[in-house]
Amino acid sequence: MTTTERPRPAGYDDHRPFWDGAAAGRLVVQRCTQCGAVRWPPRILCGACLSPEVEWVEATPTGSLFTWTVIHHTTLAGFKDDPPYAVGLVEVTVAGGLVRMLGGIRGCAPSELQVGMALRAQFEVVDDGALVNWVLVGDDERQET
Amino acid sequence: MSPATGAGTSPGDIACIVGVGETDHCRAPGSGLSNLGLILQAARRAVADAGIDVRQVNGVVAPYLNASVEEIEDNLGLRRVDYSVQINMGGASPVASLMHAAMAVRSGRAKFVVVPIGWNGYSGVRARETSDRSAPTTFRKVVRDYYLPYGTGAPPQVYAQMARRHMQVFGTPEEALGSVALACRRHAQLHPHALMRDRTMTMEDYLASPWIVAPYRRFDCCIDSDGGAACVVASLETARRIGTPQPIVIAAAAEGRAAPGSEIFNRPDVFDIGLTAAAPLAWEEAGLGPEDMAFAQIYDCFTFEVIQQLEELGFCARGEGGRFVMGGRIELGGALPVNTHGGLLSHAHALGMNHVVEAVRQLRGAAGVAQVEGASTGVVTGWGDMGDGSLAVLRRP
Repeated sequence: MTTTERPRPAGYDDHRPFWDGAAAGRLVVQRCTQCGAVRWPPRILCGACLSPEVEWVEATPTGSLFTWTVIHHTTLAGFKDDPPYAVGLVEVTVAGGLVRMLGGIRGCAPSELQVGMALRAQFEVVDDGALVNWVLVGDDERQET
Repeated sequence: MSPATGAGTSPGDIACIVGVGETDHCRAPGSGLSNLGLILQAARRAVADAGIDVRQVNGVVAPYLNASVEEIEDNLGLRRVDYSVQINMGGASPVASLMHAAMAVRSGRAKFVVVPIGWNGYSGVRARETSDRSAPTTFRKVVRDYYLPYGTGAPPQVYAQMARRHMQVFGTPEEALGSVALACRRHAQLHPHALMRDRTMTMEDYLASPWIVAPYRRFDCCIDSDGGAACVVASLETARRIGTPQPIVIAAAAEGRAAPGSEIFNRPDVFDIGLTAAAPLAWEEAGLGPEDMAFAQIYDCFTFEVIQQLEELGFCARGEGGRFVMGGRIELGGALPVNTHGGLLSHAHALGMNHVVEAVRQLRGAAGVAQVEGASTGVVTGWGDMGDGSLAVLRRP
């Protein structure tokens, strides 16, 4: 099974800054320039103040594990041979807001996962952007920060 | 007239279910009918149960899958359709449709509204990869761009993460999920047509069943089956005029979506779902509360979703659902029997309309050995993509 059979994002043009950022190893999300509300996933209008004016702000590419699943069986194209694999939600603080992003959780046995674990983004360039997966922040890394 | 669907002051203001029908439910080798064929068969059986000529139907709530209003109109030979709508709330659609049907008959625009659904959920779309992926909603785009590339997208792959969060935050044990699976399985053994009627299950069996999408095991997941179900809605005034023996009143029906609607994981409180807002609306309109319910037929795509819906319906506080479902409370003979036909987990996957049929059966006193003694009120729910929710509070007149 080759990786090209996996489903790829199709909405690159809708959310160009996100994909460009990810391809460059940067995690960016939308922030309303009128009221400052951060939003994810991207939308046209700010749900808080309805402004269409938006900027893309960069988040520190770290977060904490909010929840996860371990997929032991799947029929999804491109993933049939992968199980077991962990996918989870990562809570990322950015510009005074908080977003939760879904991605693969790597570098750790699924049985060791716990809510609140510190994770770091790992960018995997594909096509016109990059996927954002997450790896456990090692003890040595934590001491550095 | 009260705001939407509920009991008004005159029979013309009160909506009720005057007929229900189901096709056979089956797995291999399949129904032998098309999706539309199942929908039409269910509709015809509901109309027959209502004791009316199909040409008296002048309202159609089309299902979210597999049939348009026009296909239903033409195949049933309807003379006119004065009210029609198609609901797109995934599995929450059938129960949400009751709200639309009730509003249509209470307004006087429609006299009889048929609400059918059906699919070859086993033979047609076995092991479906995702929900109906082609629908042009924001949610599908979110799934396409931000879930599927990570090998996530089928409903259990999303909802298992909600279950995990609940287990981690509230200490919900895996035996709580198992208690839901067991209750449905035991009830299925009392239903003449439940697909899992002959397959017993113990907690040991549950815990030994293989992981599919942890924390969901095989027995946390609903069964796939072919089949359909339908109901006919009219005003109580109409029901009395035509002599419906046992009309079942829609005391209230409501639908809800949590915000943001297209992304279940980015809600300020991740446990907010459609029912969170819809349930209080319905209880108030019905003048009834959780404590009045003789049973609950809860959309059980997976076991945890039953626990979460019971919490948001107000049967217990958020976080306490795990303890609530344990110890036999949700089994027949317990304080709140849930899914007395076996549910999607063990009866059949008729997209939740089989839950409506079962609720009506119970309120008619026609549930046989699974009868909840003296049941005069009950609640039925639907659950759709991203936790969209719907509920109907039903009662005897």
